[in-house]
Amino acid sequence: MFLNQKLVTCRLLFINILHLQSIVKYSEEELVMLLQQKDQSAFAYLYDNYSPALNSVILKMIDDTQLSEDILQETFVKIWNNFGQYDASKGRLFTWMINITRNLTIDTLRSKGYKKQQKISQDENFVSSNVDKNFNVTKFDTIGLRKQVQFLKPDQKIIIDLAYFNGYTQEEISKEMSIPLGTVKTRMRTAIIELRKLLQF
Amino acid sequence: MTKEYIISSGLLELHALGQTTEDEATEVLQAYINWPDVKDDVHIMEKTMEAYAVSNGKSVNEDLKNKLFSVLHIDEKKSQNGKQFTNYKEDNYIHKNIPYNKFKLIRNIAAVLFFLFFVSTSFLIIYYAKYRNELAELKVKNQELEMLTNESNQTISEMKIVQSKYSLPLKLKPNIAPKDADAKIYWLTNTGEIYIDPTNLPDAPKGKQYQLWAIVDGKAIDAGLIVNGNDKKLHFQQMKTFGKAQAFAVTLETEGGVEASKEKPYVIVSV
Repeated sequence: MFLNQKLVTCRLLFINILHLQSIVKYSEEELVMLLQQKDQSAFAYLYDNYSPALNSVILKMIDDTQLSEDILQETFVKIWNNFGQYDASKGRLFTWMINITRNLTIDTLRSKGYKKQQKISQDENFVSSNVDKNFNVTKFDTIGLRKQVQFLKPDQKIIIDLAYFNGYTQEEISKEMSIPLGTVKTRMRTAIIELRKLLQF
Repeated sequence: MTKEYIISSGLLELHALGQTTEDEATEVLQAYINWPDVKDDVHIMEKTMEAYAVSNGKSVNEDLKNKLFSVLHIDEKKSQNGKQFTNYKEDNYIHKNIPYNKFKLIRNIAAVLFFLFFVSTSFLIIYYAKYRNELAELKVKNQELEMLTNESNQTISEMKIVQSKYSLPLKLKPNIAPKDADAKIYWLTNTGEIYIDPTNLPDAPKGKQYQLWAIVDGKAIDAGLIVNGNDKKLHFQQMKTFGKAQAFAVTLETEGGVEASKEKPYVIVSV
């Protein structure tokens, strides 16, 4: 463990000496170590690599580009300022970031300002809620690993998307889809196993 | 809490999705301690979900990054130069343009290459000196081996002379020589070759040399000079060939020998 940390430090030192920040690919351990040291290049790397993924989480819940940008910005401000709170022993960095994203988005959805805005919008345009309740599986962008992911069964994908992107609890999914809680749990596990196979982890 | 319970509870999947409550998370973390393979399993699930989220990424307005970095007072170019962020206030940093960064990169690569060249050359010099010494030692050893081989070959040929069925050994006894002095002659009767073993003769004084004489029909005939020096004296020396002789004698003469000796025999033997 100690030796591994030393090796990571050496690699980071080498990257720093040769100014390879713009072309190097950091491991999660390196990224966390740099962010703990408030390294700006690591933060830029984090933003470049993960902002689209976090953006899709927000857009899944809020169909408002301007608002989603505000939430995404707030998310990264929180990640930068509160990085000291991240505990790697509890889970991966991205899981922590997606939690922040979901919580901020949900807070926005529950805020009085947002509800008021929604009411005006509904009165003016007679459109339904911006919260995606149709769980449209074709809504996501088709990029990169999407080719593999498209082979996931729709019933599995819906459960994964509701939980991961929309922040639904298993009980909420059970109610929303009118299926027993046990089935939700089983499908969720099967879906992750299937996804793992498709993504070859 | 059993392992089967934690696996079938759906908590692990929820944790991988970042959906556990504080109490549930505590339960999962306890499971990590009890069963490390559970932790590995959840870790892979998290990686899977991360890849899934990345694959579903939606592009972000490019201006947002500038806006965000401006809010945080972060200068990406500054960070790309490896400078650590110490406070959130802007300083008087001068933006480095990309060509300059490339120049710095090349300069640093050159510095590393030069360092590696210096280190490797130093090693080469050290090892070259080491191998040169070892080569010199090997040459000395080789010479020693050659000498031993010659010595061995000489001993073998001397053994053949001694063991020959035609060899007639004659021991020259002291006449005026000290009592423990002697010399041995091996006379090969079939060829007439004469070999002398002068090992037990005292060292000839400086300017003097032993000379062998054969007494044939009452006359002393020169049979050759015995070469001085310890390394020579330790081996048989071949002398002149005689078909017949009644006696052999060794005299101590002036270095280079004489045609007719006036000295008394040092050691002598009758055939």
